[in-house]
Amino acid sequence: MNIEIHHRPSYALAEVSLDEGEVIVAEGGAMVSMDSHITIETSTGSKGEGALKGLMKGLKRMVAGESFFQNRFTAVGAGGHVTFAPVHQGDVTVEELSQSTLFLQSTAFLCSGPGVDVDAKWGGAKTFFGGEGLVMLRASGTGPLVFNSFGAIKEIEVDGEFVVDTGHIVAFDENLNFSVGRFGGGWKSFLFGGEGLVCRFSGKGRLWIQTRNPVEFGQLLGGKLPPRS
Amino acid sequence: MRIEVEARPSYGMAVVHLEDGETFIAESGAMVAMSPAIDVATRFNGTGTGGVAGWVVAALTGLARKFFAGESLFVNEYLAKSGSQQVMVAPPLVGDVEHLSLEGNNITVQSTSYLGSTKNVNVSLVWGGFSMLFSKEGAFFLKCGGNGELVINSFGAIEKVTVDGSYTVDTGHVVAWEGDLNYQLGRAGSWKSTMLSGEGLVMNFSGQGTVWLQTRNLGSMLGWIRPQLPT
Amino acid sequence: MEHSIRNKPDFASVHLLLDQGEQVVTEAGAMMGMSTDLKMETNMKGGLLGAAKRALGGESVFLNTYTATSDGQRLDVASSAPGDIEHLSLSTAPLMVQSGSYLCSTPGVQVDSKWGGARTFFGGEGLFMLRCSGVGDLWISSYGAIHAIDITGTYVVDTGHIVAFEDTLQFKVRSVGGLKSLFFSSEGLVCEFTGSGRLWIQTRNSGSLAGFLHPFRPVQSK
Repeated sequence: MNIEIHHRPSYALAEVSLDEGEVIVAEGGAMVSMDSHITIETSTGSKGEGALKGLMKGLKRMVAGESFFQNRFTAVGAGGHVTFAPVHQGDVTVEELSQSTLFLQSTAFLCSGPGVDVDAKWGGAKTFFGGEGLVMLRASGTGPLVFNSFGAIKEIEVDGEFVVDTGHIVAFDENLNFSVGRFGGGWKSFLFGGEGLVCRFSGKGRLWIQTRNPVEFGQLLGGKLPPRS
Repeated sequence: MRIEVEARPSYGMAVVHLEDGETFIAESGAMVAMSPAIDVATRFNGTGTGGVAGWVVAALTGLARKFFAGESLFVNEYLAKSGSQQVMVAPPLVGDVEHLSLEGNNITVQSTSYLGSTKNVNVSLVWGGFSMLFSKEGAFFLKCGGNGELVINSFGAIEKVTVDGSYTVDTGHVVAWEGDLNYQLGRAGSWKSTMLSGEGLVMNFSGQGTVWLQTRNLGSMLGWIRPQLPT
Repeated sequence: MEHSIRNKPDFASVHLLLDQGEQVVTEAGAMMGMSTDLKMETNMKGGLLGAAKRALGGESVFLNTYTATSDGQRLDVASSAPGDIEHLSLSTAPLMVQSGSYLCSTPGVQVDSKWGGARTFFGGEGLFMLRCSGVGDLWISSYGAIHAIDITGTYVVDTGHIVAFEDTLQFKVRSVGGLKSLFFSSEGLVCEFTGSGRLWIQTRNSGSLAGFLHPFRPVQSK
């Protein structure tokens, strides 16, 4: 499998070249184009663990705001290629997981190799975003993990302490300590400071942030659009 | 203090480096990330000189900014409590960010294009004239002057145009202009053209100076996405 | 006429320098800045019938024609969607262009919305395929970056990502069908291209953006 990212950093597109028999798993709606050797299978990501477990995983992903189904793209009869794009404007990057774990904001997941497990129900999943419809996913296993940002991605090597507005978090290493809380100290900052929740990271590890906040963007534009029923 | 802008022109973000005791003021909601030794104070986005009367003036001008200029009601002041601190700020819309150093000169900024500044920059509300009420951008601008740093943002990329004589700009594409330039509001083409053409008001600039434009127009973008919204 | 495109692919803008008498036609609302003496006229291009068709298609009904009154007048043009602009020279072969992607052209380019397959590409989105022919310059815009693909054989594309393609390609629009259609961005429509020719796609999909913004809209009070 070979993954190339084009048109970084503004409107990145992921191009995946598969050898015959290889599989890439992508969130529903991400496919842009593909050649004739690719077949698609809609699945709940069960990975052969039994129907019930598969259904549970699917439901967890629905809670996360991810599409219920993940599509499996397989090259059949010959090698093939397929391109994926995220919903939001911005960048796409690939991380190779090697029996390791990365935490990932739910709208950031684009696609991954079949050996990467994506979980939305771990302990801290819902604590980051205050009910804005986002959760923090936990991606672990071995293989490529392709994720996107809204805006530009900035990788930060945390060594000590660092504070980030949670809407700007894309991903972070599992070895970072984190604590989610209100912005600033006083009631005034919380109510009027305009920031939502912030996350205080400490320790040593990598953190990826995005230079735009999807919820803030949605609220600004949504407010200027005609009402819905 | 040092200001660097990253990710231009698509998703610009200003990284403000502060030494012990230095302050930066930014629109509320703009903070992306910051180092731990920074104190944040939230205050009304208005001009006041202290005391109860000052507080009232600040509140009133803050409200005026909110309702007429679309500015947020509050700003945050970031104060570094030790050396080598950083605060990263970005606007909500996609587009560019630019850092300008003021040295006693004035720059007039479209109200939604103000992102942040240092305390020694004086930001005051300026009335744009009655015709501007008909523009979608509103009738107020922000006049920024003094000696200090100013950070502006745009929807789209920022294009600098050097005006030497005259130049006409669609009002939705104006970010800022140098204080010395004159402008007159007008229509692109005849009144029929204005009603039908999709071109709204224009500003006819004259004189010598720089105009900062943005390569996208929020009204047009909303018009483009609207027919595709689910019913 | 001198022309250049800046700020590709982020928020691309077209910059033109016209000599006296030269003309450019643009979609309404595209003017960003211009020399104060440049003449602008608004027309209903193609007469009433053409205008009505364009209105149905979501294209602005009105097109603006700019004529230079002296040498070296400038016109700066911007599209509405965040994204790219590409310049294409038309001479022999026609080009099919998604209706929302037409930005501007020189007067020698004819834009036809009536050809047979125009309405088959996009389901209910109010977009359709224009057929551009003649001789001249054409600027197309996109949501996202413009990515060119040279097709030899068969290639399948989600219709919401199509910007333009050469007339030499055969195309067949079909629904992906079944459950899977829920998960493709454009109501489950894909276009299967065969033959030899160039296809321009955009790396973002406006239907997905509309779907993302929808829950943030104010709710209508009954």
